Amino acid sequence: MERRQLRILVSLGVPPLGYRDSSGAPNGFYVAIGRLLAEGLGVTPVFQDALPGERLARLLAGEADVAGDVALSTENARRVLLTTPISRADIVLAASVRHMLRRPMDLEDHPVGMLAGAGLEGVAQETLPASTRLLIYETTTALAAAAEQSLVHAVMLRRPVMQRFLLDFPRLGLTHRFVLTRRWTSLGVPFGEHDLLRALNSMIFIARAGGRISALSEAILGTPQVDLPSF
Amino acid sequence: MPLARRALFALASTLAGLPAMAVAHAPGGALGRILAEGRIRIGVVRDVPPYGLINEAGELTGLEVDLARDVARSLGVQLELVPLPFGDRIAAVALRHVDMAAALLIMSEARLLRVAFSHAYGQTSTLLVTSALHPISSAAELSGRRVLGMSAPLIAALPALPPDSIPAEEADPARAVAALVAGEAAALILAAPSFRHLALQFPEARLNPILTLSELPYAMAVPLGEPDFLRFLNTWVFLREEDGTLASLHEIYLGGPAAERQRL
Repeated sequence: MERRQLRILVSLGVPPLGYRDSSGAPNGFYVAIGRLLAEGLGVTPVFQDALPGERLARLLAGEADVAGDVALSTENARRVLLTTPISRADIVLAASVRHMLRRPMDLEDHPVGMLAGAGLEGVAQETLPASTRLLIYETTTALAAAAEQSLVHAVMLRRPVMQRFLLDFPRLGLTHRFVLTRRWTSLGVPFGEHDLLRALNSMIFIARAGGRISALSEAILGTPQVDLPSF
Repeated sequence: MPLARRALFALASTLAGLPAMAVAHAPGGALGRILAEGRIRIGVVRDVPPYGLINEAGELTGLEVDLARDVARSLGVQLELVPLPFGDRIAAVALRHVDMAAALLIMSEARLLRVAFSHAYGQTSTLLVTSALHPISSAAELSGRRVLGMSAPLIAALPALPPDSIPAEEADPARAVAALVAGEAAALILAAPSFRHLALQFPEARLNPILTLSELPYAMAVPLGEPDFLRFLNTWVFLREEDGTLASLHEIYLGGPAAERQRL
């Protein structure tokens, strides 16, 4: 760890989880969480932008102390130490009412849109029929335009991102259809860094018990994080 | 300043004093070796249904055998199941004859000195068992008499027993039953699944549970000094609890929903 700094890898292209505000400063839920934890540790947070698929590799390369927004999974647990959960971020699917899409199997041969860099391709392969066509867009605006032109019949996003997307583009008439997979997110810490892991888990516990994580989630994601499990 | 916050500031000061390092962050210890070799040795029991048993086809099966298979699958490595004699389970882990054990290992203070436990994935009732051949109707009658169990420290810690009862360790279940039948011991302390198994195996002993002593959690055990591996296993327990796998295993093998249990 660099002197009095906590270097945190986050993705700054996935609002509201992480993005740059109009002044170019890092912002979003995971940035706020990073600030909260760094404050508790008495150090300065330094945010580094990283695509979801690159975060763990860059953490392992020693570029940072912590990777934000890491899915709790056994695959990730083989690569890094994972903190107790910080948020629930299910992968959900929304579609227009004119498409009869009520379960994953209904998506055979349908085009489904998602955002580049969101790291959801693996979930799509595991949960959607092989014949589903995945179309990836760089921005939510481009994704919305594709949905408006019926280039995609459904969109697949993490729940907080979906909530923002539906609020930002009400004209699309999309509604939540189903949860593709439940997911909790945590922070990733390099193997061997058990003092840091324990400190972060303690800080998360204190922040959760004091309602600060839930308050941040409600303010930024529009949904509180209540009754998060822990370990 | 609250204690927790002071401790964190102290940690931050320690961390802040460290020089920046470019470190390779491969997992250390047992986890690193397991992933590098592509193989894990997991100790299980084979004579304590439904946790571990040999089925009619001669294969190892049971709740903890299924659990071991899923741990290996989650690690992406080959599984070597190692059947352990019941009395050797802790020693096999402590001496690193296996990488870990999932073998009805009840968490106890005495065992914590020899192995590290994951978060609990189940809990079992501990029963005070007597024989109808030598009737006893209450725990008070055990005053000054021998009580056998798998772990003497575990027995000594049970509050329901008279303080002057004489706890003794007998790891071999068959020998424990024989001692009870011969009147050399007044009672046995058994986990509920062990009691069911022994009652079926030795009907002539006329085993009779007279009291539920406690509900004790059981967990996976790993050798001491393996924090990376332990964190992986704790993550595994969390995920399998949340995705319903542990509840399903409990339902399949124990015939009902799992009781609520505390997380560490």
